Amino acid sequence: MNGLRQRLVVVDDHHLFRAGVRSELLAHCDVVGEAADPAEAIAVIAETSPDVVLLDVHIPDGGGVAVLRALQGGTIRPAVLALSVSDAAEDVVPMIRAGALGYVTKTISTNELLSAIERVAAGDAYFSPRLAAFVLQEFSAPEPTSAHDASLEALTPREREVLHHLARGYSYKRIGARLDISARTVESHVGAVLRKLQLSSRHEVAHWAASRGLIANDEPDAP
Amino acid sequence: MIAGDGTALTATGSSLRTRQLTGAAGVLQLGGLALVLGGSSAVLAAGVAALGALVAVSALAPAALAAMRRNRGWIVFAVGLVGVSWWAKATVTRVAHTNLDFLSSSPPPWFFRGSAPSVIGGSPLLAATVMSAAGGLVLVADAVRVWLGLAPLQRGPWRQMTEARDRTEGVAGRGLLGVALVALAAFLGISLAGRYVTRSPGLQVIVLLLVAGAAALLIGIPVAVGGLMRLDRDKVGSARERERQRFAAHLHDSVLQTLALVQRQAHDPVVVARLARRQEYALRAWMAGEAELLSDTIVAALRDAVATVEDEHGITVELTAIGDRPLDPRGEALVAAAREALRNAARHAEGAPVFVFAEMSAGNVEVFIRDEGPGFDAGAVPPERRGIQDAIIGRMASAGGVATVESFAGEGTEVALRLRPGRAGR
Repeated sequence: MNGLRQRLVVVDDHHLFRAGVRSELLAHCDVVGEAADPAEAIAVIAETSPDVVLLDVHIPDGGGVAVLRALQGGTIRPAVLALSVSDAAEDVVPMIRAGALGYVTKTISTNELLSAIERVAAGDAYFSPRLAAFVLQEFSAPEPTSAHDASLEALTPREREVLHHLARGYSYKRIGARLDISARTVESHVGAVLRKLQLSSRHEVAHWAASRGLIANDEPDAP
Repeated sequence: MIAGDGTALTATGSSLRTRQLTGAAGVLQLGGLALVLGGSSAVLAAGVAALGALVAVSALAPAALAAMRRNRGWIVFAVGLVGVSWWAKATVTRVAHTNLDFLSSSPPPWFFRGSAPSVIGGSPLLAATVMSAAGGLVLVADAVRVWLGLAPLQRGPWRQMTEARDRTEGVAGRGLLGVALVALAAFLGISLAGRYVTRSPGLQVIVLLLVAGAAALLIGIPVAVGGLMRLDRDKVGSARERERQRFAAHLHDSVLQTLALVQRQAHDPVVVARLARRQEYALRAWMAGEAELLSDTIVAALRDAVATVEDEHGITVELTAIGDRPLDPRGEALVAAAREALRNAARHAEGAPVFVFAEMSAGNVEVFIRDEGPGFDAGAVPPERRGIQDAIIGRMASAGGVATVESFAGEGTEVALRLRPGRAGR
């Protein structure tokens, strides 16, 4: 695509899926490692320090969230793009909260997947329409679905508008045109939403509080 | 290989030796008993019985310890047994003393306060009574459990304790052996305690209650535990079986049919993709419980509409929804309008992605149908304008809602359908 080939690690317990991704992306990216469970994934990532990790939500022994949690404490921080066949918000939102930069479904086309990889490799968020809808739902649930939803900092009207357009399938460029802002500003709004989600994750809140001596120690991470 | 064979041989040998030692111990114990009953020297009898006890302990202790390691419950059982018998003995002693002291001035019983030889001579008798009673009751309990179908034949607690797994006599034989042991215990117990008990009706009642209670516990607890476990197992098993049948029926009606269709249409990738996608939707909805629990909702109806249009036009639509509502007549009108908008998008988007986003909250329903097709200029009236007017805008108006169409040349088209709460149509 832009000359620089991204180095990828694919984490998925389905061998066929990994093989499929590898052959699909062969022309554009280097798949430098594969893993089928969190322990393997953490080892492979430490060994290869890839640019981007394609991380399945549903892998045995803790799921993709376990990999993200392990990466949070480490020195190697590749961009993580979550992917799954699941459509459930309660599976996807924790991945984003734990640090994934985007989420796509496995039915995504190769071109879409490539542009998602490009975007997260650059450190930006990639919100598919579905993820945008899940995030909107997470912020607007009248009764919080999990204990810490109450701690979510509210979205600004602009951020809400941007997410709404993303859910309707608009590209950043079109959203910018419709709202009279630049595509880059749209991107920064999405990034702000992502940070609000991640900061409010239980893990981070606990650490933040612990570092200020507000609570004795953090409780075990809950999904 | 060789090590393994050696181990197996050792195990068989040790089991054999254990059995021989146990038998010898039993013979020695019975010999001691016979000597006591035959009135010969108490010291000799005690010596023989003690030797038997030593042999028995040395033979059985490893097996018993191993069994306890395997099954911690035995430790609780053993501690409980010791505690209960200690308490029983203490009670009997106290009551016997009071009663006997009160009733007569005759000397206290020999096995409580008597001379050393009598105490030693009485001990094997007491031990034999308790052991045969406990062993017999365990065997009876085991037989009852097997007979009720609560435990497999070869896996009773007595079997585990003694590791005598290769013996083949049946349940009836073991049950009879148990009854015989209990009878022996009763005989010994009566001959041992009878001479004091008969003098005091109160003591009689207490001893009878203690014996009956212990017997009931020894038989009843394993039977009750086995029964409860079977009940649980049955409940879990039948629930699992029902669930399995439900899954099988559903998979047969859905996934297997689709797979059959895919095989027959394998030459046409478009059809295969469409079938796969439709099946994917259906399976997802079923897994999420929507298809069965909430088949009459706006989102379910929208999903149907999307599937229909996907099949008609061979396109791919991404549907996302936040919230849901029951399907009322206004909702039906909205879904019908959405279907028309989808058909429009499919006709004009020419393979470009189509998105449907539905949002429902506090009575508001909003559905956006967007395509990334060429779009059209609002000024120039396109040929499908008429269709949009009647089928989309008109429908929404009659349901008390609003439809807006937004399109720019080269920018795609978006149809927004909105229903507000409490505004009935007309």
